[in-house]
Amino acid sequence: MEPIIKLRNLVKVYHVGDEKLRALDGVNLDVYPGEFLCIVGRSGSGKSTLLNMLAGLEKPTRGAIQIAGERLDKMNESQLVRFRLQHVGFIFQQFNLFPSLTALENVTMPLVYRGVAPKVRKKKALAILKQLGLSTHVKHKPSQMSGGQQQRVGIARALVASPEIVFADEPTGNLDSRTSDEILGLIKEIARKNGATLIMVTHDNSIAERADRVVRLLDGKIIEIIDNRQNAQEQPQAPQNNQSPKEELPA
Amino acid sequence: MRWTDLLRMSAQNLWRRKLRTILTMVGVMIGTASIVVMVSLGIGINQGYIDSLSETGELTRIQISSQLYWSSNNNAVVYLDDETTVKAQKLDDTMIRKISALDHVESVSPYMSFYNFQVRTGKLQSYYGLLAVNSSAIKTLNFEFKEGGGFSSSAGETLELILGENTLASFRKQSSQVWDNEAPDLDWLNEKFTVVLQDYNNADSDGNPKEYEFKARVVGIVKDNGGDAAYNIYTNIDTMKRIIQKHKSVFKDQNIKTDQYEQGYVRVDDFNNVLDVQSQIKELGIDAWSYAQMIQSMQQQSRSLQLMLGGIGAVAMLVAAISIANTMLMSIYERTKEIGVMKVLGCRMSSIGAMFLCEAAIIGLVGGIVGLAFSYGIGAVVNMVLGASGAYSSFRSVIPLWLCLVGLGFSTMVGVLAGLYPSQRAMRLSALAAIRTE
Repeated sequence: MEPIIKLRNLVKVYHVGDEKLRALDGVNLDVYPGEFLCIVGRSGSGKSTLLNMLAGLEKPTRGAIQIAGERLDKMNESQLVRFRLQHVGFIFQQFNLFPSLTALENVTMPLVYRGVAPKVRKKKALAILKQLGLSTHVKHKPSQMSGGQQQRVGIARALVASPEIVFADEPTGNLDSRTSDEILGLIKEIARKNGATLIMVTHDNSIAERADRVVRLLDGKIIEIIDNRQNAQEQPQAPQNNQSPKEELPA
Repeated sequence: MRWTDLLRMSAQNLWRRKLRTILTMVGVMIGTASIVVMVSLGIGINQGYIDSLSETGELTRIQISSQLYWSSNNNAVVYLDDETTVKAQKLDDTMIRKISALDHVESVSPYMSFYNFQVRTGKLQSYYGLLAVNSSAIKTLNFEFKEGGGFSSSAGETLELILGENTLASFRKQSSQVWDNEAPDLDWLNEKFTVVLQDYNNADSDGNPKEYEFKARVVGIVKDNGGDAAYNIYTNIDTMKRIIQKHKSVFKDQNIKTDQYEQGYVRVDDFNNVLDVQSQIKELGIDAWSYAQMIQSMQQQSRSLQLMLGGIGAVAMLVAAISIANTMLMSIYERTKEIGVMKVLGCRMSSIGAMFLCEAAIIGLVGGIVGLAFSYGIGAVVNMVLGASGAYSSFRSVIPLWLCLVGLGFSTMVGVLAGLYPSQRAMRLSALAAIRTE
């Protein structure tokens, strides 16, 4: 199977005063369609930088990022926005809902940006809110909902346009453990139902255990890739590959 | 993104910050109102001039005069402008036909004035002289008859008179010292009149002029319509010429010419053609004058007045523009995170920019609409106060449709221009920095 995401020798250097800080130091990684990949590591290991780069929010200093056949490292900002519009859903740690809009309106926003007709987008948003068990909170503003409910709205918003890839940045970081469990289950379930690739940054090991594969970062380098499916009953969907891929990407 | 969604979101964003939006709009309102009111006063002054003259029909009238009637100076010229001149020509029947043939000319009426004629009836006498005109003068001078009508088509020996309404009061006894403005109670159209030529060249030893009497009757009285038509006593020029021919010996010392005219009036079909016709007449060698010409120079003056007044308003508008820009920048700082999230969710940069521009434009447009309503209010008050105080009638506020549209267009444009920089900033915000902002 062809990987949906290919990273080759990804380097990101931050200049902090006179010092150079290598946030990412030669990362190579392939991610396959439908996979649930967790990126773990200590704070400062480069995992958030990696996720931001995958979502096209930051540019690499060197190296290549290819997602769904497109080279992100070669795109300008407008192209990156269009790319996100077409391929990506994003779940935030801080939920980042629009505070003045209702749950329903928040969920419809990605469809509004895509120019979807009002009736169609309302129908889609209601459907996904129902899946997430929020049918009774459709007209609520974020401030009238609990953290778990807000994150469910965030998930609905990320998934409403059926993106191929969903990025989640510590989606349960602001939630208690029971809610975390529930939220994670929902994300996994809907992503799988949609056939979406799910890439999640976390430092919660109990979450990482539920991923298909776990990538561990330290000081900007991949130090370990664990494939949880080897222990599972079902057959792995992707080729088992614990070694980092090396071949170059075409320009 | 659909433009309906864009508009709706912009309006919602403005509504979220009602107080600030309204305060900014008040700025635009004041700016728009001051421009519109100032310009409307300028227009009002202009319109006042034109209205007061156009009712009388004098705006489409040109007065022509010959340089060669009183002097036989062959070097007489007519000035086309400050530098160009043409040789002056006689105003005779041939010239009248030439002028009549010009485009847009409706009628031409030459006239001869006779100041040494007295009009009498019984013991009453008017101090007005006679103005001899042809029958087309009824059209040229815009006569409206209060009584009677124009000259009869076959003029006989009797001089037919048309009295201007305002000349009636001038008929009084020669000895009368009372200068009331009351017209004597006469059955004008049936009274016997005489026209008397007073020949001072043949005065007797006491200085009393020798008098020659001619029979006359009144055929019409011209209503006062605000112009100068009602301030003359008119007689038929053809009859006058015939009498002059017949009594050559009497008239030979009066320096009266029958082969040409001193002056005349030209009626033009439309106000906008007056200046054009006027210059064509001048090119023929006849001097010409019109109110249109006067109005043109007044309009030039009031245009600079309007510009000045508008300029004062423009300063208010500039302040409003700065306050729009300030409001938008504030709003962007507050919404940095929101803009970042929008970008991460895939909202196009152009849509983000358009949304902020749209917000600024709405502030401009709504401020402009309220400002216009306000301007109408101020205009109404100004007109009421000036009307009540009986102040100079041509000073008033007039807001024509074009000023409305220009006012709205301008306020919206100011909004858009003031929103350009803030919207660029919003577009350029880094998505990552934006979502990291707490």
